[in-house]
Amino acid sequence: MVDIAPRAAPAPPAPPIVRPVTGADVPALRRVIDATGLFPSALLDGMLAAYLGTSGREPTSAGDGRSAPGGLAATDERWLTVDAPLTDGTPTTLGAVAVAYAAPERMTDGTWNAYLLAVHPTHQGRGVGAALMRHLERTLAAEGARVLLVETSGLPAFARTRAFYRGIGYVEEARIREFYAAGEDKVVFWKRLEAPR
Amino acid sequence: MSAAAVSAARVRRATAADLDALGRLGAALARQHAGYDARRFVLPEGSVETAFATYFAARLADGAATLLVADVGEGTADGRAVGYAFARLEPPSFVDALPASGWIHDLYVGPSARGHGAGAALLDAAVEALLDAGAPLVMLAVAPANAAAQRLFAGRGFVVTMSEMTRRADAPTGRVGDDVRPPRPGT
Repeated sequence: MVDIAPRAAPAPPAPPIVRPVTGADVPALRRVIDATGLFPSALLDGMLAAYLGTSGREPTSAGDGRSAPGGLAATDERWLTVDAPLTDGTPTTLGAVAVAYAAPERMTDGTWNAYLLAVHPTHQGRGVGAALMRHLERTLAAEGARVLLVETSGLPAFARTRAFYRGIGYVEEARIREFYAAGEDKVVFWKRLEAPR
Repeated sequence: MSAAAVSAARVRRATAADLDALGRLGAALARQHAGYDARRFVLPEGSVETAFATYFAARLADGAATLLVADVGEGTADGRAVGYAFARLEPPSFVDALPASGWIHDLYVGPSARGHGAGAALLDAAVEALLDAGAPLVMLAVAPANAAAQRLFAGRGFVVTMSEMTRRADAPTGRVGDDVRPPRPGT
């Protein structure tokens, strides 16, 4: 479930500001998912339920997704977003234009999977996706995570996505034939997370 | 996220609505440095505030630049944009033996808004933005007179890698063995 920008050739990307998703972002994130067409955005609420807690409140910690006092669901999930000026509103409004979601792989010691990366089409090509992945990699590595996996489709339509991951240091580790559908392989990309020295 | 995320200050991207505040804050930072040494740190002609507001307006559209502002006291008008950070990815420099790197050019919090962690929060957010953008190094320059800023930077992992030195055209000619002292302020 990945939709990635064409790589911006000339202009250096505006460094986005990556921050944890909060409950207030959900409408904007639905718009991102709708605009990319990755999956029905109605599924987003269910995907976010554990992270946001059943009451729908925001995580009370600094957003590291850990369980916090106050009855929030315990989850290791990381949901990150990037704010950018919204072109479809007043030019002074900032809103969430992208989302990344990662969680630890069960039965592993320090292996994580970035299950979702989506950037609104009007904000693609500016390094937003790369910034989200770098942020994820740095924060997970600092906590001792060893490996980050990304899975995407082997269809020709996803060639750009696969090139994006190779470009930011991922290697194609495995290919599970006919995984998503008849004729649609799953390609698993792998990157070692370097602990900060 | 770093520890400074747990502070009273909230950092966000600057927008066009912040340009008046950015002009005032940029001018205040420039005047602080001119106060250290008016020959080394020159102020723009005319209204310093207007010059900085104009400069930062262009930076809002500069793909490599990041402009951040800090708000304190949630919801109050005078708590908005009490400090700012201006950072940018800079190209490599052959003569300086410098790779492409992220520079925090400006970091400033107004005197009345200090003590809420706004400076640390802005610094952390600027560093994160530059690292997220792929900068292999984050660099900045700090005046030797600005001890508080030096402590902040040192506490966030910055180390001194280079020192800038300046010789004024009218400085006494110094030779090895001469007792050449820096001019006192006001002379």
